[in-house]
Amino acid sequence: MNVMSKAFLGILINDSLWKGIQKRNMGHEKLEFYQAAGRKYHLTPCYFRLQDISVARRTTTAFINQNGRWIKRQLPLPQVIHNRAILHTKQAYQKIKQLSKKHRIFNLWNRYSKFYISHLLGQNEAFLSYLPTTVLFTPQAIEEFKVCYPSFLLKPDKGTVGMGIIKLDKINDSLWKLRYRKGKQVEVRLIHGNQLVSKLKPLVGAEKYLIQQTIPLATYQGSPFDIRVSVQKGMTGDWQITGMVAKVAKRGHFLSNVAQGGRVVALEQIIRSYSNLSIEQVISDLSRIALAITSYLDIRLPHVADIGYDFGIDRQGHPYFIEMNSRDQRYSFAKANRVDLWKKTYENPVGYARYLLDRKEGEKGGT
Amino acid sequence: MGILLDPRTLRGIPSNRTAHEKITYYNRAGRVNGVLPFYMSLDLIRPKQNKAEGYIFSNGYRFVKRSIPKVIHNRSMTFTKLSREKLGFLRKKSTVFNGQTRYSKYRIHQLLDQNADIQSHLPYTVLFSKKNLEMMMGRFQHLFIKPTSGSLGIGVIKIERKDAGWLIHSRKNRTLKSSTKVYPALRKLIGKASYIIQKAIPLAKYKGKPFDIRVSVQRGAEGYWQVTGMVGKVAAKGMHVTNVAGGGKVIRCEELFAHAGLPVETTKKAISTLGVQIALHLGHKLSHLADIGLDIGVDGSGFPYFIEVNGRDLRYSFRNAKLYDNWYKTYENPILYAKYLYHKQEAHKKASIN
Repeated sequence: MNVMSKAFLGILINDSLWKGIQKRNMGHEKLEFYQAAGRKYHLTPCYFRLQDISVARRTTTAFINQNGRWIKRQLPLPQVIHNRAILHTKQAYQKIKQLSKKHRIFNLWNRYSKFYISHLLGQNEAFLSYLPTTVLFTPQAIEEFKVCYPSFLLKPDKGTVGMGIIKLDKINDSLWKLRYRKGKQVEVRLIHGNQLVSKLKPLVGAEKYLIQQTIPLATYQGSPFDIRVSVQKGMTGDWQITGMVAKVAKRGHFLSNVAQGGRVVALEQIIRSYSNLSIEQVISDLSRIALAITSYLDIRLPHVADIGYDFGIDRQGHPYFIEMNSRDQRYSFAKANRVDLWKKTYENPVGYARYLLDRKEGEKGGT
Repeated sequence: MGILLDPRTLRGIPSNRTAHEKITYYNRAGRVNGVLPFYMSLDLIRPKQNKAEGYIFSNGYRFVKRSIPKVIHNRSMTFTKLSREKLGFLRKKSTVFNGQTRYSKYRIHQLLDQNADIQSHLPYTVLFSKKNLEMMMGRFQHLFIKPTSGSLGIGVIKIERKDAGWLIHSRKNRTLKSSTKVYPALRKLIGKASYIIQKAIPLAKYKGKPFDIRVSVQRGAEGYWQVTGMVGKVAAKGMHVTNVAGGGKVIRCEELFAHAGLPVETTKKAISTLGVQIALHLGHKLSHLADIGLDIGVDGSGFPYFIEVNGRDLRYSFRNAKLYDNWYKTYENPILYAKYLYHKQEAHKKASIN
């Protein structure tokens, strides 16, 4: 079949994945799932980086997979673009903003400030009981948290995969345990309560940090776990829950991130170990809250279509919002042996692109 | 600085009829701290002119029209849509603290339940439903049924397990019902309103009557939370609520603790600590909270329990206990906090200009 007979779907990728395609080594990204979804929705995925785009000519150089072979082609910039790249700089964001005037780019921005998101959600009273207390790191805030919470976390405002997180636990009225990762090791220190601010300052440095109360997370086989909930727009243009999977912290580790050595387990398996909880109830609560938060954020953030949430639950099954990832690392599903869901996380954005294209043509036909 | 009062209270200012608000204390605190209080009410806000009418005190009260102050301490309740809209307008123009004075008891419970330190001080609480009532009746001997958003102890029902069934204490009377008849009886009493069911803490007693402690926790001059004062409230004879409005009596907590055989300073310290923790936690959650009145009960061992929070603390408990210093401080702290907020804003403005 001739590639040109189908519309193109642009997928904006990082440098590393681009090089991976050249070397035929895609890491965690399963591009064949995009290809399969492309066949289903009659779209040809093409992959390019921001620097491959010529804004003036509105063209791009892109990788296309033709009959199993990767070829590089010069193309007109596709109407619809799914962003999977992390844009670090203001210039990159300016460029993509500029392009988004004429092209539909979804997941435009995918590195939100954790504090901004938590602040945004905190303005809606209905979400308050699902939000752990989160404030920006200041000496006064440390003094307040010290009195108020027996355990809290310091997180880089824009950190990912658990990097740079510091955990503090009160041992008694004057002594605190401080834990953070140093290289591959977890560093543990005991600190007097009066010295918290002075000891934390050098660890935090100039980076923007937030302080968050530790949620009393439920545990599985003695380790705390959280739940990745993938929420995406699909071919109907509506938000839907693609799937959920639990991430269990590595034994003795203070974080549940998979990148920190955590493992992925089916949620059903974990909930079964709690006699007071029912899996249906847990899933329905998480779905309801995830969808409510998503529709709230949808109208406040630039064109999002693909969100991965981390939720925690306590022993009573009460859910807590931990954070949102607007560039969902989908391989959690692969690690849970849920290839069906893993595949879905790739299929939905392509379906959504189809929806955007059809609607655009519909609009054209109407005028 | 603006002080937003209920319209009735505002109109009583010239004739000194301001119900429980001791306006002269605001005047005094203002004079001492170099702040001029401007007494306002929502019905006298003129959004189109960006102004408000109200009273200021300088050699007597004068009715004036002023631009909207930069900082406003809210002491009013908003029940109508129009008043909520006007409050929304003020919030855009100014920093309004204690903007919301009423919170659902269940929502507050849920928020406090998030904090591992506070959790153990919360009486078990669930929403009122047939299923939850059965569960609670199976677990506990004494329960309170309270309106989700009520104050002054109005509508509070207590039920108590006896050999022959459950004794229901409502405002009007007491009736004994078999356990299967409790739910229909309660439904009849509360109608369709939203209620919570709460385990009744076995409160420490004073001369055979249960008591709890009203703790005023406020933000002061540096913006930090502090306990302004605490005072005991003893239930009226035969009553199941300690509220002063329900006939309860105010007595200094030192006397109550000593009488109940509790170590006075240790018990006060435990209550203060819990009070500040609750204020800090809620303050992080609910924006511009600066002045709350907490009801905290203690059991026979002096262990403190959170009972409820009042967003508009009626400060007269301190007056009734003749704790005039504390009573004055409850008026001065909001003035100091307003001053702190004002200077912070000004400093921020300067910094952003430079």
